[in-house]
Amino acid sequence: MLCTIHIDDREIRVKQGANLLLTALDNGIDIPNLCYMEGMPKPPASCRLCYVEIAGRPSPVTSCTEITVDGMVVRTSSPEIRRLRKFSFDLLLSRHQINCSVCPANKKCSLQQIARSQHFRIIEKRFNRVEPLLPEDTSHPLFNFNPNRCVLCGRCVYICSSKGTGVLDFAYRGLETRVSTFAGMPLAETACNGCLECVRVCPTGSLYLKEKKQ
Amino acid sequence: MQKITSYEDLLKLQKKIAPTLQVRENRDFSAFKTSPQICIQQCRGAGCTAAGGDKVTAKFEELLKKKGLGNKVTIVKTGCLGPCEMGPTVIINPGDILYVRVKPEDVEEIVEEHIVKGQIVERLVYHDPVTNEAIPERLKISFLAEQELRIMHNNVLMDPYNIEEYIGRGGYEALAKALFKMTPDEVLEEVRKSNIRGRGGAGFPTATKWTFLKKSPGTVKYLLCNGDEGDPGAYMNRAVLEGNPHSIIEGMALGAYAVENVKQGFAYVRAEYPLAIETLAAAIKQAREYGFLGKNIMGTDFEFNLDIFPGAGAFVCGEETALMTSVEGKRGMPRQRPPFPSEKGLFQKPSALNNVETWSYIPRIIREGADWFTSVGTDRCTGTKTFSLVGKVNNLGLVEVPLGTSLGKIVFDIGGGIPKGKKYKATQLGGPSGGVIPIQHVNVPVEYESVTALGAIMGSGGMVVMDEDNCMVDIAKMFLGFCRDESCGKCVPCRAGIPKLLAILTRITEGKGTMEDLDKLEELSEMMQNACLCALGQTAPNPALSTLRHFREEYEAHIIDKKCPAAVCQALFRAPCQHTCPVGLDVPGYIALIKSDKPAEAYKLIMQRLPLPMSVGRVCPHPCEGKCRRGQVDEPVAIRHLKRYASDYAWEHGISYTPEIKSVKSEKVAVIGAGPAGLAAAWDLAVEGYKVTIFEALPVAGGMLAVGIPEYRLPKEVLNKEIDNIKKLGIEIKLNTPVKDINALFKDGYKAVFIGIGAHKGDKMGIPGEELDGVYDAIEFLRNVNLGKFVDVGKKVAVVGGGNSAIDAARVALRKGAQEVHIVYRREKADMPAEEEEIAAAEEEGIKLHVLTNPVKVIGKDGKVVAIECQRQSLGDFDKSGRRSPKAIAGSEFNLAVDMLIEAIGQRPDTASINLDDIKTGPGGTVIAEKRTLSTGQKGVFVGGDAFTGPRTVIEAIASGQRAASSIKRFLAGQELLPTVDRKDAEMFTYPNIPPTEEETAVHARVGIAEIRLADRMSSMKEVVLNYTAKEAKEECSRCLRCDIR
Repeated sequence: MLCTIHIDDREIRVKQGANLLLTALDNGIDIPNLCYMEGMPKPPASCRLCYVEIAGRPSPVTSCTEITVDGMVVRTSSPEIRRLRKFSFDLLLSRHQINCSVCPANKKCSLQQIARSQHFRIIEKRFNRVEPLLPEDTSHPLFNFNPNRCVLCGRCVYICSSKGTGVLDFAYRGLETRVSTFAGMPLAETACNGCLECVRVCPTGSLYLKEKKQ
Repeated sequence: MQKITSYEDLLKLQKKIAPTLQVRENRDFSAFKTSPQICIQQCRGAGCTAAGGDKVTAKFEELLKKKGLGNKVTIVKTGCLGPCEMGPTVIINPGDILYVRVKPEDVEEIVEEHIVKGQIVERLVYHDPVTNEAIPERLKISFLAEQELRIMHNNVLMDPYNIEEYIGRGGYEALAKALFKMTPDEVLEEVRKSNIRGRGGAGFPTATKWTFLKKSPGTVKYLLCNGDEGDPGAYMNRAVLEGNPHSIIEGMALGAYAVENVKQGFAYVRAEYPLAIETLAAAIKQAREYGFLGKNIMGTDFEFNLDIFPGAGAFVCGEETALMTSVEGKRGMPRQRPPFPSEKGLFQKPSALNNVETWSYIPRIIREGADWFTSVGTDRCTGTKTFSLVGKVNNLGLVEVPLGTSLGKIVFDIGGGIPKGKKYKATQLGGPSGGVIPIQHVNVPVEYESVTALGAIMGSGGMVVMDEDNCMVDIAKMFLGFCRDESCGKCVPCRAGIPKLLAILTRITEGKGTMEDLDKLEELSEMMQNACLCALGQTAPNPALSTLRHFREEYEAHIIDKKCPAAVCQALFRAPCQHTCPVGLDVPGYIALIKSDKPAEAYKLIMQRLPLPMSVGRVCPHPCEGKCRRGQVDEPVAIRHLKRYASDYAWEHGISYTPEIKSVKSEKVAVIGAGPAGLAAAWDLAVEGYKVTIFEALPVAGGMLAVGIPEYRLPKEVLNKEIDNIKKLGIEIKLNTPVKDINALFKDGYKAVFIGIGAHKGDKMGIPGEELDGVYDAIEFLRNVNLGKFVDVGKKVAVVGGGNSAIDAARVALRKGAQEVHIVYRREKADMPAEEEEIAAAEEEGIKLHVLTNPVKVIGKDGKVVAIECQRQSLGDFDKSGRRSPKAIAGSEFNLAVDMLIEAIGQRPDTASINLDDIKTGPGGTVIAEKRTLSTGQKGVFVGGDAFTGPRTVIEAIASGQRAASSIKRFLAGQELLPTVDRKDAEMFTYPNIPPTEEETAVHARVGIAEIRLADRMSSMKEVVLNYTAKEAKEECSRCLRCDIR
């Protein structure tokens, strides 16, 4: 069943119950996001960037966890939305190794794209930056994993368990949380079959192919 | 055994078991000797077991067997009864006699005396901490008497491993009633009528939650029980899981019946509760065997299964979506809501989660009806709630009270108040997601809305009581540290935001914080509340926000003064005593010097910060001793006596100390008032090189030290010796010279003025007859006596008030010929602000205390007082000071025949005597000035001591004089005033830095101080307290733990 919703004053006809973030993106409306992927049964809503305002709701909500309902009125920008997005973005970068010039993801990195579209700065002094300083895993013949660039969006974890062999998951808690193999063993020693889906979905230069420069 | 397949089956079994359980509830001790059965109920909760409960049980079993009492006496290991701190506990019935802290070696006496002879062993029963009265009956001890036991009631009456005992007490009858006599909707309606709200903390109405689930489409639905109880200091749910597991099973089965389409439930119990898991597992197994779980429950076609899921050891798994993810076998991380669990919960199916306590309440609501449930509590918050009362409170343990009970009642009546006479500060509710409720709100009814309005949350029931020794910044830091460690790391605001918040708090506790940090703290907290995915992150800033809201001054003390008022934040100080001393005396230093036979050096070290050590060594209320770490071992070090020892030693050996004047300066400074504040300011300014003149209205110098404190506490000879020493610095003291006009002083060439006029005007009660002859105020009375004026002291004297002035006036009256002295005070003795040792001394001297008594009228004859009419008081609600406010008892009036009445109810500065111009006065007649620089509204005029603070202590007045001197110095030098005292001690001292030996740290009571004989006190004003001998002083010094050595 189709329904009509309004996003930023644009009328959109869409299937009722469709993912709101996806609907916006499909219609060329930009909402910054890192952790959502099409097909996820339960969006993690962990990057806290895709905030929108929905008429009738007291405060901004994450668009990835909303579904389209007939008559829905959505705004994708406001000072409050910007404040929340910037808060999350600055905090994400406070834990991200910033060395873009030597990063394999330079110029196609999602963080750079979001900074550009939202007019945020990559180098921001608001929060003290504390990099994780974890060792890089270069054991795998096809790709490397630099956990210091990881923003913990969880796309690799999701894709590895749905399309790969399920060798990745989150480990540790709080600020020490990281994407890890079982007991932190080198990737080469895991059941990884080298499908490279994780490299494909990584939004930063954390998981990257071997032949590329570091 | 056979399965229960009908209502009749159940009732038959119930009827069979019930009589065997009756003895356990027989509270009539007179029936003990004739009772054919005796039951020993012993708590098997964690507290009692940890304290050695199992050994006690074994000893009972052994002795009963030996005595052949095995048939008559049964031993039941029951659930927790509440007062966990008193374990191991033993209840003996009939009689409901409670024995506390029972050791295996006590068992023989209990068996011999109590079981065999029917004599209560008084030594082992509970003793009231205040009256020391023995209270043998369990429900009469103050801790339990004020409680309303509804959840906890069954705990002590059953063996949780025995389902038949649960049935015997009416268990599973509610389920039978529902299955055979009620429709699912009727069950739901009964729950709705009870208005029960979720006991896990948020207070969401349970029936509404079930209705959502019921209406949610689908034929596979789940019910869950939240037994993750992760709040630090909370263990209410464990007591139910361990003590009454069947009530949870029955409750969940009832829920499943009401909601329909629920065939499976899960009880999520944290793995850290192995005994709870074991008990619940055993109960589930028995419930299956008896046909209360599984298919065809009680012969009907109702089906419900229940399994335990042991928690994975993460705090976040108490959050409902994380808990469900965890049950699914995944890493316990929360999910964004919506979709809510009632739509997509466990395994993407409609689900509902309730707390242990909520579930265990359901059977009784169905069996006894909603009206029974709502008969206690408030309109919007019905029923009772269990709390775990922990922290700085006398009676620790589990407490069950109706919702809406005042916090004060829980802390003071049930909890028995604060140990060691410390001052209550606040209670933390709701653990790391909650907040503090400060002393001024101690009357708040504990229920969801009113607690939330104060910035705390009800939470699952953790109640942490805090006293003056808890630092609020440190508490906030501790809770945030907990949340940092427990954050699952999924969403970025929580994962990275909490450490940022924590960094700010850490900075503040290390004295590196700025006032901007407080703004940052608030901004960051507000962002986290909005941006975090789940309640853990959203509520993590609460303790910081709530402590900042109620204790902003404490944050400012850390930031501006670099002081931790509770002496907790170690980075800010060397030793708690020094940190707490208003003038920052190097206490460990002078103690070390006395200990190494250098008392004269100790005196000189004291003189760096305190020009009146002999006087202060006699009369200081020693706040330092209150924070002395030795007090946690046995008693605080006698710091004040040691200060007196060192300075008296110097005097007796003709040693005096005056520092060198730094550099002579041309400016003149006027000090108004030769009290401790004025003298201290003058001393510091004279050392700097200024020419100081003190103007004193009275004929003597010393202020309250001279005219307020009686001779028997501080001999005039001692005080005058110290004032003479102060004068050696070239300070001029003009006696009998009141200052009427400050501007005239500037005209006379003084460049700065310090007002230190003290608070020498006594307050009046404002009752009829105060104008009569023979009515004095204490300040006036003590002044006249001290100045040697004639005072017509009556034969029967009444003093009204409870402070030090009241005690001083009473003891002076006694020495001046009164035959009877009465102190009339409107609150209780424990509330008296006077020092404990002073009250004790007064009583020892025969002064009679009338507490809870208030004068309402002075009765006169021929213009002279002959009696006072008094009214008895009862204590009502708590006031803002955290004390119960007295209320007059109508018709309780009585006359106390007296011929003299001394009012000692308060005092204020006599500011009317000075033309203050631009200087304003505030409440209590005090001079208004900037709190830290002490600069008044007029340029060059500073204030300090009681004139600024209202009546306080000598040492605070001295500190305030020094603070003003520091400001005056900077003012005269044209420098910006500082919020902290700018000073450098004249000399550096070295002393041995040797930590105490093992022998010295062992328990060793404080060395007692000698006093003159009682007979010698009455007739003279001789000093009562004597000095330590050299040997005693050294022995006392060896008790110092040397906290300054790290």
